[in-house]
Amino acid sequence: MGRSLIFMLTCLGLSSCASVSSPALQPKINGLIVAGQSALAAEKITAQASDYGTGNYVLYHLDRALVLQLTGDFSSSVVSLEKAKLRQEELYTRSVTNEASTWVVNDNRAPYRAPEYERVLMNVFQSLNYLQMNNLNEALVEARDLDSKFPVVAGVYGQDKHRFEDNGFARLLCGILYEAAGTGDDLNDALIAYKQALTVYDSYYNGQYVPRVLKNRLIRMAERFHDPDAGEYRRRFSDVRIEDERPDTATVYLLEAVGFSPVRVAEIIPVPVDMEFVAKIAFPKFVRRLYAVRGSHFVVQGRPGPVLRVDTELGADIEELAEKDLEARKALTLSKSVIRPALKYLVERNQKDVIEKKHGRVAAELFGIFSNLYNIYTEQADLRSWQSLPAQVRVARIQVPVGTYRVSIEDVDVNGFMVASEDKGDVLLKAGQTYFFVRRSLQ
Amino acid sequence: MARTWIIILSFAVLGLTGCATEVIRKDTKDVVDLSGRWNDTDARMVAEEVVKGCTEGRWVGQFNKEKGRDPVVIVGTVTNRSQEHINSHVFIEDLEMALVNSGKVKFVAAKGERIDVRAERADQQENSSVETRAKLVQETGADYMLQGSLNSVKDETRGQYVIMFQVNLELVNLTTNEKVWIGQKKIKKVVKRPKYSM
Repeated sequence: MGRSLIFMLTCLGLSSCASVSSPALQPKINGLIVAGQSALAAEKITAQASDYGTGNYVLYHLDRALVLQLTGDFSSSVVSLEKAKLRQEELYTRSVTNEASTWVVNDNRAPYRAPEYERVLMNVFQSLNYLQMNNLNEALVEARDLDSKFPVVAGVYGQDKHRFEDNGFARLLCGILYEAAGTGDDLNDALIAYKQALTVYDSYYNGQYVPRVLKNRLIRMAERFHDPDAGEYRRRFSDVRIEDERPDTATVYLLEAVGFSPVRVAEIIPVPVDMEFVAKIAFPKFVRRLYAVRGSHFVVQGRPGPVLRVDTELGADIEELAEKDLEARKALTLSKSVIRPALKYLVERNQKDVIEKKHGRVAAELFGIFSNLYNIYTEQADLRSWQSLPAQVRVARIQVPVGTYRVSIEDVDVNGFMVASEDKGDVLLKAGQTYFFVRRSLQ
Repeated sequence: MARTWIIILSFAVLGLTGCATEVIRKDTKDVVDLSGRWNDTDARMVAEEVVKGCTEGRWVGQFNKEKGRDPVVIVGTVTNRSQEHINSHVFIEDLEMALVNSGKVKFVAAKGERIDVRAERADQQENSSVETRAKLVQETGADYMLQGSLNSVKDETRGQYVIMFQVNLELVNLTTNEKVWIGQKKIKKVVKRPKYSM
């Protein structure tokens, strides 16, 4: 009976730890973000860090970083994203005992490790922080970090045709940043980044979608460096208007994060194993959240002068990236969700037989009831993901003659009706300079 | 049963030991690498070696011969072109210290630092006695500017990476734009992480 007691207590102990790993605060933070109460969300997430659970250090700092970015506290957001990146690197080493406990209890026992697409987005959103702090040099550091990270994240799933863990938009952003830096070396790096972005977009969308911004910059940079592919780009992207690169013009980019990333919910299947034991199979699936903004116009009005209006286009579809990432890991997640209850059943069945022989039928039945409750309670799907991410990142580029302009953004719904707008005020645009406007739409 | 309790107690003691915070004081010259990132040791090592190479260059002797005095150097910008967020001020301060300690060149305050000094000097003109106040328009102009960049190349696979930091510095004659000295220092680090631990 002593060994059975220890077995039961161990199970209880492990299952109580499991609940600690669940980021209880995350849904509340999500709710506040959606309600547009970013300041309150920032206050709560900072004050109640422990409510994210000890194993969710990376997740906590990812969410905190984006909440702080929303409030305009970019320097604190930078610190949180750096903490998340550092811990993510450390988590490469897996604890054997910790991994074993994921087979005994559930996947929530493991510390949160950002999937590859989130790892890439850490650099993307860190770049956006720096751009909003008008610090192109540090944004470039993120681009270079991405360059060394891509071969690693792309290697995770082998040479899969749809390398969604790579990210065409991240590559495009690297190119834009290199081009903005403007030195000869940087421009060459920009061309390489644009070429890589095209490869990834082509692979991801089977050649059916390439952002106009990428087409435009790729042609321009390829021609500048007399790249042998320049002619091919001109022919393939003949729909894109390429303006002259005059020295008395400035370039303005809008990078707009739209909507809310999908959230994970549990798919639960109760499985009666035999007449006495009940097991539960639980695995996560993504559910998309509702958001109104499906497009936007980037408006740059000369003061005095004409109004220039460009539609933003899809840069990164984070919703789809999240879903595809989970889909790719579904086989492993599902097999673990099936094997784990089976293992639990074998151990519990054996224990029940031992108890029945030693202590009689009543004790065995009691153990059986406890085992069933334990199985149902502990078998939980891993519902953790970086939920403060947007659903999409959209991008637009305008080249204008130097001068003062009023910059604004108009968000539109699926029918083209304006649902929100933001006036960025008057800006003096200087010759040869690149300006970045970053916006997060919460409609 | 007693054996079971001994095992449980042993694990508890082990667990508690793991929780204790340990602080060890180290000499600032000791090499401590935790992550393979650019750190204070790298900054100091590079600054000392590069400045040694710089001040031992032929240009110092030629300048002494031509002008009959030590050259005056100012440290300009060291651009971070690496993939790490590096506080280049720490490196610049190490460079400045190594330059001053070399005893072969004179060294003047950089642009940012001069603002405070000039404000103090202006203040002295109004508030200090005539005998003690610093004189106006007596600053020493630099003959050369030391500037450069910090680059890195990282080759990474899962669980390990090799990173090479390369610091390129050059000394530019402020009158002629002539580069009188070019130096380079490379640091290579291999970082391996185990896939599993207990």
